[in-house]
Amino acid sequence: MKTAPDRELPDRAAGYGLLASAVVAMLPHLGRLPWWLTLYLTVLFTWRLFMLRRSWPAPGRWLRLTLVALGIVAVYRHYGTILGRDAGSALLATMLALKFLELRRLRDYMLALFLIYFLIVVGFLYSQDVWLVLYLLAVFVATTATLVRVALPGVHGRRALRIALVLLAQALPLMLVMHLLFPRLQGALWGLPRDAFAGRTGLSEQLQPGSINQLSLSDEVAFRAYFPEAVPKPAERYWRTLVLTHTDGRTWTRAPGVRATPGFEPEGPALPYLLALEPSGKPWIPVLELPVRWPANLSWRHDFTLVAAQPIEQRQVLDFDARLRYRARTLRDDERRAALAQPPPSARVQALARRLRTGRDEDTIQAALAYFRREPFFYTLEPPLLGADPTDEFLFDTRRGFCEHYAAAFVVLMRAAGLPARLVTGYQGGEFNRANRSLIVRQADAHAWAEVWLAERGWTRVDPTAAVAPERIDYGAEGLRRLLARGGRPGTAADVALELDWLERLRRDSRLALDAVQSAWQRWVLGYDTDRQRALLTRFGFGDVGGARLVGLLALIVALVIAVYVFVNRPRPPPLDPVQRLYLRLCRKLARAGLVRAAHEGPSDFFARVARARPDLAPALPALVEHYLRLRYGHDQNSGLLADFASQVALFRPARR
Amino acid sequence: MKAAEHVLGTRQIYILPTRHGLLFALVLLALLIAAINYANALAYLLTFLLASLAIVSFLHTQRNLLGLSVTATGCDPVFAGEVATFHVCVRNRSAPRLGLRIETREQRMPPFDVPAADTRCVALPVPTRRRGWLKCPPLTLATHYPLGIARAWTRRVELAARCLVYPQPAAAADLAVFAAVAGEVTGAVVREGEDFAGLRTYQAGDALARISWKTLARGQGLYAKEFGAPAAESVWLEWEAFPAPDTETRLGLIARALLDAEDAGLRYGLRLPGSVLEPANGAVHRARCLEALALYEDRP
Repeated sequence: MKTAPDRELPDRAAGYGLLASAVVAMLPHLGRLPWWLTLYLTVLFTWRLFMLRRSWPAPGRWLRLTLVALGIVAVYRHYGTILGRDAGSALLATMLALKFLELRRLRDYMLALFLIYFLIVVGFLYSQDVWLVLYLLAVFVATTATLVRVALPGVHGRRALRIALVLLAQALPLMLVMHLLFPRLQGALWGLPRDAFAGRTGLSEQLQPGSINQLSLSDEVAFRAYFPEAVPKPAERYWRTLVLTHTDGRTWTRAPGVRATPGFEPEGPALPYLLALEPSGKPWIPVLELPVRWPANLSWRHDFTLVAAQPIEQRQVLDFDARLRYRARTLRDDERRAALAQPPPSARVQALARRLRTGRDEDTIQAALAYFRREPFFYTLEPPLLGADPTDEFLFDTRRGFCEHYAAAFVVLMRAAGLPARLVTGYQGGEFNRANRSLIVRQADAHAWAEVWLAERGWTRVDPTAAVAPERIDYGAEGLRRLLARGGRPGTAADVALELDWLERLRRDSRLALDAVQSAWQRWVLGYDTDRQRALLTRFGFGDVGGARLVGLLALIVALVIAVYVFVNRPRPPPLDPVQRLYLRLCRKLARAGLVRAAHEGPSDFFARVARARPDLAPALPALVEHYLRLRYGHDQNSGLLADFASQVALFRPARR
Repeated sequence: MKAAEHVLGTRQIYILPTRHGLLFALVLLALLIAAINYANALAYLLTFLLASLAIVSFLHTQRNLLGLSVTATGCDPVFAGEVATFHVCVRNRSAPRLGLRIETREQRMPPFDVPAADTRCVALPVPTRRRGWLKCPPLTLATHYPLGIARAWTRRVELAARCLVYPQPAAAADLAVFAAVAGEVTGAVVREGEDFAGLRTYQAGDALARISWKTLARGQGLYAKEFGAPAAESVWLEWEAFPAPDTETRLGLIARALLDAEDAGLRYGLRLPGSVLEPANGAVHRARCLEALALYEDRP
């Protein structure tokens, strides 16, 4: 086969387009790559730029191979592997940049473009933020336009973009069908590399002084909760996550598995909500008060908390019903023992507990809370360090701390006073977003409180922090932080100190609107999994279709869409110009009056014949002919002439004879 | 399939992925595996988008040929050994078509575009070896539009167009040798000192000066005057006078002599077994004589 290779290789403009696509696809990765690799890539791309601009020579074969080897070795030395997400994407970026030094055949160009597509997808393994997605989508469009330019040498840039957009617009419905119906596998194909999920924040299963403080600085979203019906009031927004019963005097941990079906009686109406959980890397799930209905893949613990079988590494949307009030029925002996056990507190603490222990259990609790209020306790996010006996030091010496200090000290006091008590960690509060009726709960909302067993009411929540800093509950962690930042003192602040000015309100409202977009994205795209798929299919009456039948259904719908496209895309003659359309309309009118234009007849001949055959029409004809000929063949194209002709044609009504 | 014009319907169009398309499929597979392994919704989504893009682009590839009609027109006669140029025209009644390509068994022409409701022609050079009619080689219309990952092509179409190939004239030296040895003895070139002038129907190609304006003015039609050029002599190119080992060599010698006579401004006639062309000269006569030679015994 004889070919003309030079004429079929992409032109210089396509070369620039390709380079630009690669650079913009690589930008989101640069922050993650080691600085020397960024430098290496910059050098390679600059070289390519000069190859295009200044016709620099491509590096020779040996230099190229050396550069490739250098890249592989450097990536291997840095990451200790060339596989996995981090090393893989670094290697991919390097190979792509190196490919640019040997773009000789059409295949090289194509491969470079496919690598760019790959790089875009790898970007999603790091972040699925909606703004990043929009950015990468734009890169995707540009890359596709470049692919069109490469495949069709000589095609104009704008035209290539138009072709790419038409293709993508038609691909979107197909993509949607595949997204909704492609069978999703649960779990990974093989063990995920360790770098798959790095740097998650979340509640730890241990509580040590300072562990929540660390979280309180993080604005990261822990989860969002959507309330289709009622929204709980701020004081009811307690998200129980972990119940810590066991303590060595310093560190609190969960009780070793006491497995028993807990008995409780729910009170009040059920409150349905959807929980969109951000990956935490931990298996425990924050739930609102008492869950009474939960997804099947979660298991229920005796302390009324829920645990997943696997750590939460992906965003998940979970469906719950909660009860805000309930009554636990029985406290077994082993549970009671666990809820009372603790290393003997210091003499001062024991004396205080004895003093607080007055009459009924409720009174003891109230006395303890009153003690916190009365004595000079301060809420602060920067407490002094505590030594070997944190409870003693906190209660009598430092008296500065935040939720975990108050809650832990309170539980120690209760146990010393003989009341079964336990420490609960989780989240308190959340920002209500009116745009989508959701509560946004951040890591900063992490909180610790206590539960005390009361004979007549069962486990009862007591939040000692509220006694010291009621703003924590009323205005949330963020409001409290604002108060502290303004120099206000928790427990004494007037509401006005917490009000937002208009600028802050505007900022908050726009932030919430953005969050609504982000969270819709998360619910319908990122959180779409086997469960959502099943729910959707059930809603459309397909029931629980299995993998093979699902693929069949998918193929059927794809085939239908293709059939529609074949019809829509069929070649059609381009639309007639308006003058011609008017002329044909005129001819149809005459044809209805019995005067049919022969195929060979031009307008002059035809109208001459009409004038001869129908003298009654003759007066109207000259103007029509003149207009038509001027519009069709003349140079004075203006819209007025066309409008005149249109009205003449409309008014021309040859009577049938 | 042999017709003047071929309209391409769905049944005439085939489509398969190109090598780039297979590479693309590999990339898709790798992406799907990554998406499944990392259970990443967006990786899934983009993989699906790329797969959909490929499917849609296949439809566009096929559509890029659908409804086009192919004709081959006009080919100026050439001498054997020269390159005959067919003009393959693609007519498009609908939206613009980009990146079309004419391919024959031997060659692939560079890609071309056809604007909406328009026709574009591609010169298809075909080397010739033998005299006679040369058929337009069977050809296919192919396209990689729009992404280069699929190739659509048509069944080979045989178009009715053909090209007349004159015999290859012998080298001037051969004729000179022949003339020296045989010409004078046998009188291969018979000269006729003719001065006849008459009228014949006008033919395209006759010089304006030769038009008989008087007859035209009388309304008797268009005639051309024929003169025996006073200075020119008439020669007869006789089949028998060119003894040669075989027909093709003989035709080549006659063609050479004919071209020389034309160049010299001589009037020449051609006498072949079975056909006689009266002496004349000019482009039309030359073409007629060469055609007689080209089609002599219409090829073995």
